[in-house]
Amino acid sequence: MPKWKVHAIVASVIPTQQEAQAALTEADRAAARIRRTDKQFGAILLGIAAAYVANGVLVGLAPAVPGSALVAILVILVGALGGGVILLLRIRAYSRTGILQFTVSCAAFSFWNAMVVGVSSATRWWAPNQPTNHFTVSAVVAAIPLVVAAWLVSRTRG
Amino acid sequence: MAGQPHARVTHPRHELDDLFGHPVRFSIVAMLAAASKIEFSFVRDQLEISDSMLSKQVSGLEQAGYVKVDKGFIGKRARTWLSITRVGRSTFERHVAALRRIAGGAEPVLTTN
Repeated sequence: MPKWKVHAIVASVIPTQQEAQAALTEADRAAARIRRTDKQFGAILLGIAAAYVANGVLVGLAPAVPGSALVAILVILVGALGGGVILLLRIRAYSRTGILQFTVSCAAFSFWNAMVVGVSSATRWWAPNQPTNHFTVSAVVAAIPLVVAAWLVSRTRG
Repeated sequence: MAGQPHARVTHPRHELDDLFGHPVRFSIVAMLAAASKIEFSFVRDQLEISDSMLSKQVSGLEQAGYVKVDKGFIGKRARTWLSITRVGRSTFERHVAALRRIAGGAEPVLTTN
């Protein structure tokens, strides 16, 4: 009898082909449970994008409604920050991929936003003689990476 | 005997870790392997087991050096976070690779060296 067969008889627990397959299925299912929590990262990214665009709209409208626009901007900023923190604290499982995607998304947004601000200023797209709705357009463009990232993170995987 | 080829068998079961033979422990580690860290209660709820059952299994995995347990507070609420160690991850990956070979109907390989 080959040595491996002797070992197989002696060993207490050796999964059969079906048992091994079932264990692999369970491993995939367990990983999918974690990946589903990544949707909360997507919600946070979408929240940041919404707050950013809303502020862009308000800045665009500021000359028409000066006082209330400032208050609304502050309310949105505080609300977005508070909401983001609450959502982050509520996340009970962090997937490695989810964290990486979230971090990269925030970094991409920061970089892209800096580019939009720089280009808007350099090209005089933002200037005292320009319509204020240019701020709104720039905010929408700056938020694109966040929306794309939110979609990517929220996709159901597994 | 020196100079003679030495027969060696390689069968996937050699790569299996007995600790992962228990279905609950296997599921716990499978979840942790996909995560950076997971809250204790999340694992409990997902696997539909009791606190004591999870504690017992996590304790065994922690003693083996496969799982790390971190306790902390968010406000006044105590939270326990679980994460897989580097050793735990590599052992689990070997275990899963062996399961794949078994599931794929791997035959033992006889090698000489």
